[in-house]
Amino acid sequence: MTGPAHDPILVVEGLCVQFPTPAGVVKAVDDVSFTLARGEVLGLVGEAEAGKSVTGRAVLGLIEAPGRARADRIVFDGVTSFGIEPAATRPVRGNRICLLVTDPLRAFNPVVRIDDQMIEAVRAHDDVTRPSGRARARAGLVKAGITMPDAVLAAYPHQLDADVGVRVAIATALVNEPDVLVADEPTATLDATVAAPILQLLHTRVRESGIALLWITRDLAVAAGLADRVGVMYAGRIVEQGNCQDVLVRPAHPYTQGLLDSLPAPYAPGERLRAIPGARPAPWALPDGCAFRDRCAFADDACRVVPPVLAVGARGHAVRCVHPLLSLY
Amino acid sequence: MTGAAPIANPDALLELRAVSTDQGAGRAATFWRSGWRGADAHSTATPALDRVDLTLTAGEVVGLLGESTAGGAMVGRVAVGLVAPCAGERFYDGERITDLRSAAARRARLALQMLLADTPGTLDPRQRIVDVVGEAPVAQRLIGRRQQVEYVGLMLNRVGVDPLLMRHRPHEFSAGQRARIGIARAIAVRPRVLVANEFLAPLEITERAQVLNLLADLRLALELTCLVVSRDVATVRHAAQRTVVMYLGRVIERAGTAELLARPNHPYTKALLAHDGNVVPGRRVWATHIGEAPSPLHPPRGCHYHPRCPVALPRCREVAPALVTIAPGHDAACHLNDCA
Repeated sequence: MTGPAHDPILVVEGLCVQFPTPAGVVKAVDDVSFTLARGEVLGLVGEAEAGKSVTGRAVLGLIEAPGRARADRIVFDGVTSFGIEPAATRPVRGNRICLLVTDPLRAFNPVVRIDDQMIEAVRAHDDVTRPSGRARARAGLVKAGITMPDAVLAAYPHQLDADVGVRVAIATALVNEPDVLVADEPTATLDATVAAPILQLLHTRVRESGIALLWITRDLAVAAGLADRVGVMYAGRIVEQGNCQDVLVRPAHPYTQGLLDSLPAPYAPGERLRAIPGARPAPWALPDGCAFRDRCAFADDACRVVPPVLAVGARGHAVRCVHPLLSLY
Repeated sequence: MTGAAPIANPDALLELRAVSTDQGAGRAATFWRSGWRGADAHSTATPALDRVDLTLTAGEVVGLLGESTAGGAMVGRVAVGLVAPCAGERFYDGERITDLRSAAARRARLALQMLLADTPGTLDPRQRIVDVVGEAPVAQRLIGRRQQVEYVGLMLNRVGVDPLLMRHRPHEFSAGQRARIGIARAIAVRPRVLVANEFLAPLEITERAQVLNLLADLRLALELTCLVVSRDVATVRHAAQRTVVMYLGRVIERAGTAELLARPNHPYTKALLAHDGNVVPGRRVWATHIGEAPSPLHPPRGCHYHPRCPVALPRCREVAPALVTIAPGHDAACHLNDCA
């Protein structure tokens, strides 16, 4: 892997998030650890209920009661217990670490104009006047590729098209020039051709300004194109992690292989897909041991005893499996 | 292709000929899809269809490829008869559908079934699965009321849902299982044509693969003809033998899927095919369109694609290009073909 890894700006170790429900305690995130270096893009991929979005929110300390987040260690640029202690989190969140949510238009307040919402984002962390806050918001919109920034500033969220809304959200998230951006599928609701220029823009911005990006997505093709490293999540755990080439071309975990085999693109037309059998377990009743074992062709008794640990191999390629598809060394 | 007398193409099981719809057609359907959120109505607005021709031969799978504003979903609705076109003809099995009366018309309606994307509202939340799947075949007297439970069990087995769950309601199932129930509901009335309208888009990756396999099996077992409306190139490439590409209510290119992927002609098709869904680590570059997708309510003059087209000619702004045959079985609507 290339350079930036020695200088992690965000370290997450042993993150667990639980939600009590009438059916039982849901372990939405279980023992998730990763690091994020300046200028690095980490893709977090997986299906629904894998715990990707909850991980992203927990990192920013956005888990609300009755949900509970705890971690062995979350360090953001020297600030320890970040995301756990509200006092440590509050001044940094929205300023140096920002969140970009799915369907961002709906994250805006529908009855407040875009300019007021963006100026508020600036003035919450910086003691500037309204006009200079507005100027920064306008400059941010221009940088996000919006051709008519004044019209957008004067608009209410419902007046914007979906793709413009995503650009406004990006501009708002980046207006304070954060060090870390957590993006939770902001382009998921857009058509591929409309999302493409936005991905290109985000990629350029992130690489130019050295922002660390945590990119949460269910689209493996987008993750592969955008990220330096990926983490694959299943049932709350990271089952495989490493650089894109290792994880998405020569996967070691049967689930990663199954995900890639489920995409129709590499098959001959009409050929039968090697789909993963069965359905994911209910989140409140995860099986002991490996959560994937009921769907896995390689599972045996060893898989049901203890949850496998994340074994780290060459180039940081880590896999949480008793019977990995290939040796990591 | 555009014969004056309305005589059906003898090879076609289902044929749409020069079908057009009004700007506001299917407003109710749009309203439904947008989940009663008035503000969203404009973003899901359906474009007017402009003289769309479509032929489904018995046993084949045709893909309808385009963005959400292309009008593919509207073609699907017109094909099954949910929306009446304001101009053009529909033929089923050699007969003009508007000429059919009573029993024959009913048979045609049952033969054309639709698979809907799993938005809230495609399955009645208050109905149990036994009625979701069994109501129509009983009402249409395909089976007796007493046979309903047994018949629904058969259908659920077919699509891989446990028949013991037939007393449950839709919200108790995952999206993948609801998709299977939607398929069971469609095949319960013994259709000959299935129209899958953005059916696989909301499913998770592994569920989508399972359902794609299931549909392939059912198609062979039940001798179904399929129209797959999708914005996903990989899905259409995998499932369809022929592909029709649409842009803002018009067909802009059609060919055999292999031919279309190998030799795309229209600039829009080329741009669309760049998003092939292949996992390529470190790709870093995304094919970009010039400008934003125009509003389907105010489509540009001339060729609808000209504001985004990198190779547009002055003529493209004035005259809409006609669909012409550029190779055997390969039609495209682009002025660049006039010069060649």
